[in-house]
Formats: sequence, structure tokens, C-alpha cells
Amino acid sequence: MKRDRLEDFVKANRGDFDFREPSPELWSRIAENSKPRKVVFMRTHFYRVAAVVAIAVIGSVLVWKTGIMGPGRMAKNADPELLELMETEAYYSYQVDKKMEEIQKCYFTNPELKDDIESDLNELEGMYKVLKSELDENISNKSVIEAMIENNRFRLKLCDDVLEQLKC
Amino acid sequence: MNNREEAEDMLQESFTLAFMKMDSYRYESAFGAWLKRIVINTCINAINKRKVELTYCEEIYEHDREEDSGEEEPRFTVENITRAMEQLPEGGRMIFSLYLLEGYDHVEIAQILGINESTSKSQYMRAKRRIAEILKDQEMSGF
Repeated sequence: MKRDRLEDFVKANRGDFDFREPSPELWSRIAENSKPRKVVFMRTHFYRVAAVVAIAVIGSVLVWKTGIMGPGRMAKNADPELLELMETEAYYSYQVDKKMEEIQKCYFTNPELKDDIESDLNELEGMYKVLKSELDENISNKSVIEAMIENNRFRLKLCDDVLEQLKC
Repeated sequence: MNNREEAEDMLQESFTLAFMKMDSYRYESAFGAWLKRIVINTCINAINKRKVELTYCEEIYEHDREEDSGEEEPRFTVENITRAMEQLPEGGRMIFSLYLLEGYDHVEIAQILGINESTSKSQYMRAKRRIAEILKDQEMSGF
């Protein structure tokens, strides 16, 4: 137990190890930085997007019900659009994952952030699934795909905004 | 951080953050502990952002354990221990400092640094041994 002398010494003199003082001008820099900053309320953006998506879904249902787009026409256009959608989805999902890794590093210092961003992202994900099921039901059209791309874009923007506001 | 300028930047960032997050202080822990946690996390985040893996004390120090059992122990002072700590690899120094100076246990250190509890324990032992070696070397060279 010879080595424990070092441990005992440090424990007994713990306070003495705290001998370094910050430079006096540091406190004025801190005071300058401590002016309250305005935090963007993520929910307001969220409801705006929710409204856009709702209109897109209603629009697609109406288009489908009224039969404006015939099946032949849809088949002709579906593939390139879906391909574009898949590429977009992969791109945004990769970007969002990367940004989320950065954001997750800040959870420790901003615990409330986890609930905020994850509940927003989950709700967007839920809406995305609804849109996707519309596509699966073959009511595919440009508006639904655009809404899905917009949904992806918004998820990335949400992460970008959070990262911009964070300084952790 | 092992660097005065960087340490002051971290202090500034932590205090600024603490002021901004003051309303999230829940009175569940002492204010000092809450603030200390913010400072530590700010430092850990800054180190993580360097995208460089933390370096730890190597296994090589293990074999010295028995060899030097008959030798006299070095003289301990705050100054020479601090100087020895500065020579430790970053990861080992952080664990040594968090455990012995800040009073965190290995479970908490593992959580803070994202490592296993056993890694934290073994790195702490190695850091301690490395410090003792450095102190001996310092004494032998007449420091």
C-alpha cells in the first residue's frame, strides 16, 4: 500500500492544488458574455411545418379522389420522383445523424435540450411516416413528395438552428 | 486543459453558460457542484471537439510496481505533483484529476469521459504510478 501515500497527500492538501487564479480581465469578459440571449422557440417553427404538411396531405387526397392524375400519367412520373426522394431521404438522414451526434455532446450541459429536440424530431418523423404511407397507398404525387422533402429539410434546419444557438 | 489560455477560455465559456442556464438550476445539488459540473463538461466537450482521441497512460508502467518496492518514496509537494501531472497523457491526467482533486468516483468518471469504469480505475492506478516515477526522476536529477 506504499503508493497510497501519494493519494493521502493529495487528499489532505486538495485545497492547495487550487492555487491558480484566472486573470482579472476574465471576469469582465464573462460579464459581457452573460447578457441574456434570445432563444428561438422551436415549437413555433414546428407548427408552421405541421400546417404545410397538413395542406400537402389534404391536397394529395383531393387530387387522388378527383382523379385529375390518371394512373398512366402517375406511373410515367413516379419513378424519377421516387428516386429523387430516396436520394434526398438518404442525404438528409445522414446529415441529421451527423448533427445529432454534435448536439448529443451537449446533452450533459443542456439536459432540457434532449426532450426539446427529440420530441420535435419524433413528431416530424411521425408526420413523415404518415406521408410515406400515403405514397404506399399509391396516392403519390408531387405535393406529397415535396412535403416529404420539406420535412427532411426542416429536420436538418432544426439541428442547424440548435447547434447555432448552443455553445457547449 | 494543461494550458492557461485554454483553461481561461473554458472558464469564460462555462460561466457564461451557467448564467444563461441559471433557471435550469434545480436546487437538487449544491450550487458549487452544479457549476463544477458545467465547467467539467465544457472542458470535456472542447476536448471532444478536437476530434483527437484521448491519450492514456500505457501498460508499460505496470511492471515497475514490484521492482521499486524496496526503494524510498519521493518527497511529495503540491508543486512537484502538479508538475508531474502536467507530464501525464491527457486521458490519464483527466482521470487522476477528476478522481483525486475533484472527488468524482469511477462510475461518474466513466460516464463523463464515455469509458468503462474498469478503464477509469486502471488508468487512475497507472497515472498514480507514473506520477511516482516522474517524482523519483525529478529527485534524482536534483529538481
